[in-house]
Amino acid sequence: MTIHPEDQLSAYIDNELSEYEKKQVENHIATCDSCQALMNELIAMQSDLKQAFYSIQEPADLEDRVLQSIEIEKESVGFIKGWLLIPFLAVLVICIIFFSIGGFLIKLIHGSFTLLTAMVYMISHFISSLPVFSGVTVVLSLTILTLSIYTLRRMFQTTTS
Amino acid sequence: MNEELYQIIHRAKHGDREAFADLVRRYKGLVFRYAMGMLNDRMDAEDASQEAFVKAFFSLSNLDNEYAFSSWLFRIVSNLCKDRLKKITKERMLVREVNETIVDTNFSDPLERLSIEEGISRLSVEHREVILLHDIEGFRYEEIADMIEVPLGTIKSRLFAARMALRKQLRGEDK
Ligand SMILES: [Zn+2]
Repeated sequence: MTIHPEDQLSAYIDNELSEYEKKQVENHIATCDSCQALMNELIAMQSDLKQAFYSIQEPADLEDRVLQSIEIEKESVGFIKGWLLIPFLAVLVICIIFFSIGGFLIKLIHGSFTLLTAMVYMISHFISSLPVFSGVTVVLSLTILTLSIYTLRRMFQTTTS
Repeated sequence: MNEELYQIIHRAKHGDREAFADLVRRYKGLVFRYAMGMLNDRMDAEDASQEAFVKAFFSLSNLDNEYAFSSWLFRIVSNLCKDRLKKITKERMLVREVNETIVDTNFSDPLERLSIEEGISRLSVEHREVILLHDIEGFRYEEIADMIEVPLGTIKSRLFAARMALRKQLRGEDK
């Protein structure tokens, strides 16, 4: 059984084989009808393909459309560059606002934390304390609570005024 | 490449709009035919060709070697067509999910004789690509290998496989 160099045939008709490979294919074709037929078929198909595609008409106004499109894109790039200033300004304004209220935010967080610790302290005492000391702890907790509320309110006032 | 063409590419590269228009005139047929072969739709092919030239205009300053212009241009066209095909496939899959009863227009009737363009349109994207780049655009194996970034040996075997697949389509054999 002979090996048909079919895959070489395709490269042979494209003239993409080395001299040695070319010779081998030629020797084979000379004695093999099926490879000869396949090669002719591939050549015919290639020529039909070329003919079919060369008859396709390209759009006549393509270069005008391309130039127009380039013009529009150039304008829009200029437009974007001009408007790039706006997001830049927006970021700047946000930064300024953030820095000015940043101090206030830190105070607010700190104040809430003081209040929270006071409440936790109070609740734990309500639960765990003996009746004898409960009066004392309640008074103490309430004092701390009022104190924290008071400091928090003062903080609010100082920042808003 | 002749000296005249080299000069035109060189001028276009340095921003000469007239020279670029000249390049579009010279290459539009090749680009459009390739896009038609890949996309099998005139409107899509026109859009893709236009998009490719616009893209080429804005990146022409990156072209290192004027002699490599046509491979460079076809790399752009080829990538744009592949992107479009991916998008189309995705859209079709979505449509199919919504409407399962949709008729597959690509289904081939074994008795029907296909035109060669239809035959091409039924090949895989990879097969279509090599056939068009070689037989229609006239690139050598080495140039194609470089363009689509696959080994030279792969181009050789892929082109053979593509031709056998096309032959099968044209003969009306089962896929
Ligand atoms: Zn043989």
